[in-house]
Amino acid sequence: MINHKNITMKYININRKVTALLFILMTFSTSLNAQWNIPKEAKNSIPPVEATYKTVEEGKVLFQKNCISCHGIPGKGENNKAINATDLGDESYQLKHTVGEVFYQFNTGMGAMPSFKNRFSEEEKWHIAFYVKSFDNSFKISGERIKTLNANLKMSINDSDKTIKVTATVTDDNGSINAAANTKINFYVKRIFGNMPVSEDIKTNEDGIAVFKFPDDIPGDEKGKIKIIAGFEDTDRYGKNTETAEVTWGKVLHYENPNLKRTLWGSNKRVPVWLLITYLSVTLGVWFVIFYVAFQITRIKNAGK
Amino acid sequence: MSEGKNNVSKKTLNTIVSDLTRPIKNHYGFTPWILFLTGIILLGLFAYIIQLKNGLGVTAMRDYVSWGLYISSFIFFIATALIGMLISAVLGLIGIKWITPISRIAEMIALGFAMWAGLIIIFDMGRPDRILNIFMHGRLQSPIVWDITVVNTYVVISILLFLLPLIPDIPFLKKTMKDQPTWKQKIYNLLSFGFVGRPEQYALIKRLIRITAILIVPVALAIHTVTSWLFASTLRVGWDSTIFGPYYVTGAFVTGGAAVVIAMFVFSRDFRLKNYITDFHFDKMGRLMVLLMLVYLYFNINEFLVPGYKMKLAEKPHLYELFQGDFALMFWLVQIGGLVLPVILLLFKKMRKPVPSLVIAVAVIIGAFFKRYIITIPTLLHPHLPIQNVPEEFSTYWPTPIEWSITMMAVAGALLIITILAKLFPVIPIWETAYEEGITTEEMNEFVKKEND
Repeated sequence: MINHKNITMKYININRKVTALLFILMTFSTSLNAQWNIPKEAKNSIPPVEATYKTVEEGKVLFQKNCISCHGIPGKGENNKAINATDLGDESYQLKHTVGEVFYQFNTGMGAMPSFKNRFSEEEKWHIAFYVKSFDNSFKISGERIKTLNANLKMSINDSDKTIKVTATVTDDNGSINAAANTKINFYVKRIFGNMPVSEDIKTNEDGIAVFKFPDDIPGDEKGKIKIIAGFEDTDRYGKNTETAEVTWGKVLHYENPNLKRTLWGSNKRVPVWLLITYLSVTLGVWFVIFYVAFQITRIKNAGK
Repeated sequence: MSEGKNNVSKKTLNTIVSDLTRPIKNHYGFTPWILFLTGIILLGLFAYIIQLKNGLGVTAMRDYVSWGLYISSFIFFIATALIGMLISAVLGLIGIKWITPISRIAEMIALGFAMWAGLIIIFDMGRPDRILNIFMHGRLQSPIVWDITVVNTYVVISILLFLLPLIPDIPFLKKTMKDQPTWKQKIYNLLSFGFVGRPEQYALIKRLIRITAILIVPVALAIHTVTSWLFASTLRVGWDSTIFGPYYVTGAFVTGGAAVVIAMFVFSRDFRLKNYITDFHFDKMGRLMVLLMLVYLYFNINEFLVPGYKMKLAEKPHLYELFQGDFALMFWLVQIGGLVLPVILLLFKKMRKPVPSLVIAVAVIIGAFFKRYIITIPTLLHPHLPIQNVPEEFSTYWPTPIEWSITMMAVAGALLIITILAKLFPVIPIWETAYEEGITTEEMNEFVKKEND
């Protein structure tokens, strides 16, 4: 379905072990014998918000952050068996629980399962419940399923006034190219650990054109080089296509490599001058006296004549 | 100093020379002692070969405790070696006379222990063939490089300070050792450097002794300060202290002082030098020890009371371990048995007699050895960042028989050097003793010449 896997898998695996250790006591003392005691009214409670593809999608994001460390991705059997966490995609679970019961369960918590009552807003909690129930085929999701368009971005760089013009187009099924009008375009600068957003509220006009004035205070590398990335905000609709351009608009980075300085923690070649002078003068001074004395010993014989 | 003239009546040059050279000729008890030391050294060599073959895994040192018995012995050896500087240089330069019969003993101890201290560092290396790397690639910023420099320098200066006062004794040895093997006489000839007792020669030698004695004071202070910096320049609990330099130096004087008292006892009894190393000297050394130990005690109180009063989070487990944990017995035995009680006992005149002095000195030196152990090991057992899932054996340390054998080899080796020096040269300087008895250099020269003719 969605590519949450590669980002979170590693995290899940480590986290599982840790959680298993942490919760093992709790599990044995409470949740093994404990039973869910869901009040009847929860079963038929009506969600105050509508289950749409959009709200399910939002629930999915929250679920990935807060639930998969124990439950895993629903339906994949990744649930943590050591603490009796349920695979929420399991048919037996889905058949037994209505969306209201799902909501009740993580609102209240039981045993090793914490209560999320105060962690999320009422709406968010329902979104999560929608996502869980989205694995039940009989669960109704209204609205239209979002269809990703075949969209493209073209960037043109204007060095004189540091602006970027983006032309967004959509190719329809017949192969004709239309402007992607009135859609938000995000601009990012590539940093070491991901992309930094640098734009706000840039939208394409009727012709699919958006112009972005690049800020002056973004640090670049030693030559002021910067990588600018442009992409659609609404990736569900327009896809994740991005366009990249390299410009020299960044502030030139004055980076002094501390490894090239004379430091106490540096290599032997970069010994601090004061240390070198101290060491050499003390050592050579002492050894000069030693050699002087040793030389004088050889003169004892002469002194005897 | 008038009290320097003790209850012994004036000695003639003849008695002095024969008394002081007799132990060199007399081999009674010498062979078993040498065999005993050689046996220990051979056992240690055997252990060292095992260690070379199988690596440092044969020791109890693991990832936590990477400085074990070897390094704590190294500090102990350096400490013992420091006494040469205090007795011959500092006390000599201020003109204290009673050190005359014990200054050479102190120098012998310094030489023996300083030489083996350097070797212990090599025993601590899994790959001793890499010792050259420290000279080729060593970083001047590292206290280890400073330590190597200063240890070698100290050994060389100690040799000079041993050799120089020996030169005027050589004519007496040449004269009295005619019946000895030729190799011995060759050594004496070599070390005489053509000395024949001329006033110019005396003047030159006295000047050189003075230069060397002055030079050894800063170098000796440096050697133990740098050794302490190997510890104090880290952020580790128990080592991260600004007073480690003086703490080590004063501790070293206590250790070396105890070693000198023991050596004084052995030489005065075994070499029958009771007329030269008298109760008076034991009394003086006892008083000196009280002073040194009080200073050291002062540093000890600083070192434990100040952090103990604050009890910083990181220091807490370390200090508890010392005060009432696994190391408590050793810690309090060392502090009370090896420091507090000796100070109190030595305040009494009766306790400064030779035999009680010996007993106290033995307690002090054993305490001093384990004191270094306590400085080194408990700190390493409390790392700031403990390793996860660490094997059980990492979190404890008890030296293996291999480590004890190699350490004992170092002790035996140092004693062997002292023994050999004591069997080659008089342990008490002849010319200085004679000079203090009022015998002039002319009389000494005449004495040597007359017998030679």
